[in-house]
Amino acid sequence: MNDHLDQLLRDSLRAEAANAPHTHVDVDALAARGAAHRHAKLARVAGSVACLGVVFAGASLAMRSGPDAADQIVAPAATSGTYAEATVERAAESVVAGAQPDDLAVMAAPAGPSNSADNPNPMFDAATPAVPPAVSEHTGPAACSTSIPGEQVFAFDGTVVAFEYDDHGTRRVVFDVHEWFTAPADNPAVVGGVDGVQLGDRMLVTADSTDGKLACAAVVAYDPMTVEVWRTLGG
Amino acid sequence: MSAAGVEALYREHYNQAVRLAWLITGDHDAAHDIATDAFVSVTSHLLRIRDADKFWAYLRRAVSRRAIDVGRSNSRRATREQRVWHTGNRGVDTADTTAADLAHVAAAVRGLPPKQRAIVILRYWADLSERDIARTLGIPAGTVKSGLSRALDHLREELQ
Repeated sequence: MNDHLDQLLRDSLRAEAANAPHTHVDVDALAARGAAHRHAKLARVAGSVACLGVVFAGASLAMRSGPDAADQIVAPAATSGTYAEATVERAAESVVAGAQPDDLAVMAAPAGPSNSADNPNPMFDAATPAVPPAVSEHTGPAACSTSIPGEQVFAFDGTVVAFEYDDHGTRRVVFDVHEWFTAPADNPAVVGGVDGVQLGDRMLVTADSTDGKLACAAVVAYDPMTVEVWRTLGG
Repeated sequence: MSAAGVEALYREHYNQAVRLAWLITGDHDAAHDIATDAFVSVTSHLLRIRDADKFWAYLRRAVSRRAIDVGRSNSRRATREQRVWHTGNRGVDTADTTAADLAHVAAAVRGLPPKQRAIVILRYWADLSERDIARTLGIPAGTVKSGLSRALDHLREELQ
């Protein structure tokens, strides 16, 4: 019976395997997914390292504000392009290049401060380094205009569900928000100044707002550890 | 890794990966998802794989483990098991095996718990040794041996 059962199993499974679905998968798409997979993983690592940087560097680093401090901290991550660009891929590159945790901490940190004394979002109340003017100057229409007094800053966990383009061709990313770490706002959230994301990407986003519209953002790949930090800071 | 390299690996291994996932899960859609995810995952780690000739071993491992997880959580598993039980103990003629008999055996295999099913498939379809099955699934060789033994006992009982 044993030999026969063995043979039965071999024959049966061979016949069953012939019923497996046959399809053609676009190899280029697979390669692209592979690249995205690598980037996402590196970004997750960067996010985790950034969180550790936030935790261990302590308030003395993360709570610093002002142009001088911000220049010093942010510049390594944003020497060119927009602040948003200095996020997922740049974070990944920085990890590969051996960037210091202190550098990465800023990339995962919220984008901009609120100068308002009655800011309802304690997460950003003097807890976040300001985006230096040199960065904002490169950001075009989706620039982080965090120097405007009284702006509100938001942070959320969301998935990219669509892209929108305004009359000027400026792209905005539509996020389905899973959780607001700051005061809740509209869902879906439409955010400008986000690069390097694809449909379905789950990101942690910080954004400032102008006239009620989320105008500029810093994003990091979703990471539970970062969520915990942001959730705590967001109070 | 270049697109040409990925394509070559795809042409050589992807369908086998789908077949393995299909055998373990019995789910067409899941089989493709599992094979694709595993393929992407393994190719994206190729820089770290010293011996590219072992690509199929890495892919097989990724597919098997994903498929077991899917099998465990797949609500349709209950339906499949029920279908097996409702086929009754019709038995298999040892002298003259027909396609229906093979289908009955396949149904009995699908009724096994996911890990036992994977062990049987890796043993009798992929022709792996118990040691290689243990490596593939990341479990002790003893667990493979006992799992295979229990699976075969169950199948004998089912097919008598």
